[in-house]
Amino acid sequence: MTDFTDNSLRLARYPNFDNGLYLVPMDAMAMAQLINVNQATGAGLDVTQPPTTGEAWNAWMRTLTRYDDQGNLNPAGMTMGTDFSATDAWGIVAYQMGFRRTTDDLKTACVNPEAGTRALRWMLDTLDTQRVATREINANDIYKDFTDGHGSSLWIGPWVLSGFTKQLNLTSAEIPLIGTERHTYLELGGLQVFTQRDTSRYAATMKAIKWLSDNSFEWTTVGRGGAARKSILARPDYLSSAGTIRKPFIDALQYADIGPVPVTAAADFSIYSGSNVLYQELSAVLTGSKPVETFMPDLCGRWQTLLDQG
Amino acid sequence: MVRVAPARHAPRHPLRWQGERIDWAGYVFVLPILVPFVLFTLVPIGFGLFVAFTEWSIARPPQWTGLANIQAALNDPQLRQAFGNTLRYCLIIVPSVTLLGLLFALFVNQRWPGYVFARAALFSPYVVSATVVGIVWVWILDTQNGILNQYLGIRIPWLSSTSWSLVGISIASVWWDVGLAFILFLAALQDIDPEVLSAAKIDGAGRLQSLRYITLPLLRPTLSLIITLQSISSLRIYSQVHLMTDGRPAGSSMSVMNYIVDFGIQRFRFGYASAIALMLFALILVVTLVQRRLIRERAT
Repeated sequence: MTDFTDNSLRLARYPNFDNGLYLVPMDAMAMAQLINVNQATGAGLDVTQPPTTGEAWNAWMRTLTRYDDQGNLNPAGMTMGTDFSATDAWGIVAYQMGFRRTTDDLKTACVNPEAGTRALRWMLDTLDTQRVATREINANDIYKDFTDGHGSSLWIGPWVLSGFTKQLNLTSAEIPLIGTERHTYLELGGLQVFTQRDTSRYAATMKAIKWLSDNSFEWTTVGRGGAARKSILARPDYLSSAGTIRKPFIDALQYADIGPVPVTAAADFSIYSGSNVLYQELSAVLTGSKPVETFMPDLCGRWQTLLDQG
Repeated sequence: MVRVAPARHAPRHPLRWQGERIDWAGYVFVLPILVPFVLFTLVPIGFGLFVAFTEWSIARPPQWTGLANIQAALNDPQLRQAFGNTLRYCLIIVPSVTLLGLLFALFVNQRWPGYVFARAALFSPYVVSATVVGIVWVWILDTQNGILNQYLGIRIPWLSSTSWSLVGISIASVWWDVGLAFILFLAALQDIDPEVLSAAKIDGAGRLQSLRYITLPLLRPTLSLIITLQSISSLRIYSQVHLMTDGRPAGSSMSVMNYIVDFGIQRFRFGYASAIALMLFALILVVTLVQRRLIRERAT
């Protein structure tokens, strides 16, 4: 247990089970950005120097974005849409600007809501003023649309790398610093353990799980996310084995702290969702169904109601 | 004096019911369908009805909450949107499928050259699986590279726009469902006695008059069946929505069934999901009863 990173153990607790451990952490997945190399080099950009600041990122997006004869984005610089790729963009930028979903004691929703509004305005500026991101992404298959070249860059986790690298020539970079502090989204993958009627099987089950965890080097280098075990992270060959495209995803683990909020309604606080409360409020504004001014009051009101439920 | 023995009832035979001999073999033959029907249909329905009045997240036993789920559902704006979308699906898909199915059947019934191929081609979408339909139509309706936009010379964001996502899914659904309506209408058309149409022709009725005063009235039972089946299917729409947009963007294409799955399976709120399912059942029942009343099956 002492070999697991603090972050992974913290995220492996589930409020619905009285904050008990509900899974054995296997990998930690931080969000970074993927860039289509063919489109970037075609636009004259140096893919060995990807953008890491907000200003540089804006310049890259303006260069990557192309318009057809009718003025439609084809492709857009950023694959944003109005769904889970939008919620994570808002969530990351909002955190970088100082917003927090709850207070530390989990009693009050929305710390520094002005930052949340600034993050929303940044998104609308990207979509409508600078016109370097597109709403026209099929949210049910954003991966298909990115593969088809609807957008040249995508903020995503390492779970897509095995599939994408077979189809696209990609490079990766850490999420640019749009605000003042570096943060990014973190998701934990693990092995869930279920109760068994024959309790004598628990010892053998945990032995198998421990073996999988002890031998998760390949899974956490070329398989999927970063390691949740300190001993694996400390191996001198860890970063070199992960490959260059995975390096930003692993480096990002140092500041990837936008994880689940440990309350019973945790799903509604996730910044990576196509159906929860955040998605409903954000997509309503992005599609023009609600004005910008209602976003934070309505979102914070709904979050507060959920926090009051425990 | 003749003594008449008092009347006696016939002895009760264990293998008789109201005087008729019970054929137990019949019940035995029905058992293989009856037992699974009870176990896998009636029992789950009953259990679902119970769960609708509880709060159940599967991690703990269900807790009785009475009408709380129904009240929450009535005050849920996203659910109202889902019901509105579902009714819109029904209003688009049912008339389209019915009309197109009838037109296709009338065309094939003429037996013009190529009718055999047309019959197969028009019915074949119906046998395709929902997964294939969803995936193929996502490609067809793609904003930038989809063939529909390419051939029509337009740029409609069929699946990524709040204005068009429901229409895009409806197009795919009509394409998928029209085969059944077509084949049912065709069978009904072929069942019409040709002498009736000949007699009308002799009496001077033109094609359109025959269609209006003879064919369509005789198709009334089939029309009623198709509208009923298609209405139920449309109100329960799920696969196409799940595969093509999953109710997005911004819930503009969300159907009630997708909402039920979202709450029941993804959020582990089985009580609330069951309550919504109960409301959907009530809606389908009302719509079906109204339809059956309005489109009576008697052929004139």
